[in-house]
Amino acid sequence: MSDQEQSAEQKREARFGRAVTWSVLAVMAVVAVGQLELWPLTAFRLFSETRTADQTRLELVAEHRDGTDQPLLVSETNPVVVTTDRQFRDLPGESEEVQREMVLAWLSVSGVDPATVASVRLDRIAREYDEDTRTWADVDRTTIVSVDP
Amino acid sequence: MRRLWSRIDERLVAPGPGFRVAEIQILLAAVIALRLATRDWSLIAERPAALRDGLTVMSWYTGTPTPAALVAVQVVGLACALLVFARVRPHLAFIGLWIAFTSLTALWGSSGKVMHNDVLTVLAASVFLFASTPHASGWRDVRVRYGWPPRAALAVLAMAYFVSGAQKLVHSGPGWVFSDNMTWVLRLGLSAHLSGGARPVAEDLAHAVAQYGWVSASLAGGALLLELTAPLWLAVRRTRLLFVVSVTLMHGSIWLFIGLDYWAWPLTVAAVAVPMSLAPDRALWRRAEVVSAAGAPRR
Repeated sequence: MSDQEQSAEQKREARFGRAVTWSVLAVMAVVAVGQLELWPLTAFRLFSETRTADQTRLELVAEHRDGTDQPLLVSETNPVVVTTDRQFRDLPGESEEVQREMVLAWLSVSGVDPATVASVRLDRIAREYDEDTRTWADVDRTTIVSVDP
Repeated sequence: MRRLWSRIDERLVAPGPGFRVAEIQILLAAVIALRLATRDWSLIAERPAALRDGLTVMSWYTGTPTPAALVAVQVVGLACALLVFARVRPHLAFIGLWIAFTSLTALWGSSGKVMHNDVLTVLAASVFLFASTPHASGWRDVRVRYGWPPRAALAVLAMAYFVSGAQKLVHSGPGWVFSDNMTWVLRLGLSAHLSGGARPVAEDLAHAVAQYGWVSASLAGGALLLELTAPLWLAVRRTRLLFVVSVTLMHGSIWLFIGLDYWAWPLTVAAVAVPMSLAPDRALWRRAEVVSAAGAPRR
């Protein structure tokens, strides 16, 4: 291969490398600026929101026909299933049919027989931190939505 | 400004030795193989279809895979990793490994929460899908085609860390460091195991750090500074090793204090930045050989 041919090939390789590198970086930048989440393309929002003492959490509770309450997903150890609790917040905005499907799915992974359940409610719970005991305590509970399975 | 861009561009596509591409490809394959081998991917099958959520590269597939299918993908991925290590059709094998890992992690993370644990590995490795892999005879060749992939991977790492830091400033401002934010991050993280998270190893130390505001603010400041300056650390050959150590400390402390498994991040950074911290004529694990490094930048 002559020097000229070699130089032309190196230039071709540089053009290709430049195209790949800048395209990948440009896509990452667009996703970050647009706050998009199209995994594995992500906006990299890792702990980006400031945490404060004012904390609330959502809890899904099965109301059994015998009058007892049972929080769902609590003893679930499958890491794939546990993180579905992030969808609790989507529940109020879904159609009744989708709400029912989701609630039946959560009852199923929590090992609860739907036949024993009168309804499933989603509670928003305000929490307070106790510096002495180093634990969080529930201080207020509001029901956001109730679904009949 | 134009000159700066031109210099950056010149550096990104400067020639490099063939063995460096192979080294980084093998190390990234090792990180991916480790992640593939140490997780029970069949757990994905236990998630009901109604609870699948989030946009990923696997969103086109709406079914629930069987445990056998998930294990089969895992085995194919691991077999591809062995081929990469053995240098048998390494480029094709690396593509197979990347597809297997990306598919499984995308399915794993389709539960409503954006999972970042493996995203850096997937993105840094994606550059090598387009990279030429040298034959044994071309191991010591210095060419542009072997120079740009490792630098592109470094650029991806730099971008990921910088964006992580920038998002903190965009969404929280200086208060991310100077408020009691980190105190509450720690206190919330310490209770995460009660709702399915991992129990932190250094609970007492984390409680102590949370108790002293200046200590937790210092931690937050150090982490943010490290993320925002990542492009500078990674641009200079001599500081790349220091960056590997720094991010290992950062992710290690997160794991110790709140139990979050982000080990794939420092491993990925090490896989790319450690070989790239060596002089261009020095291979990582082959005995010192004389390499014609003409044209390869020393920095």
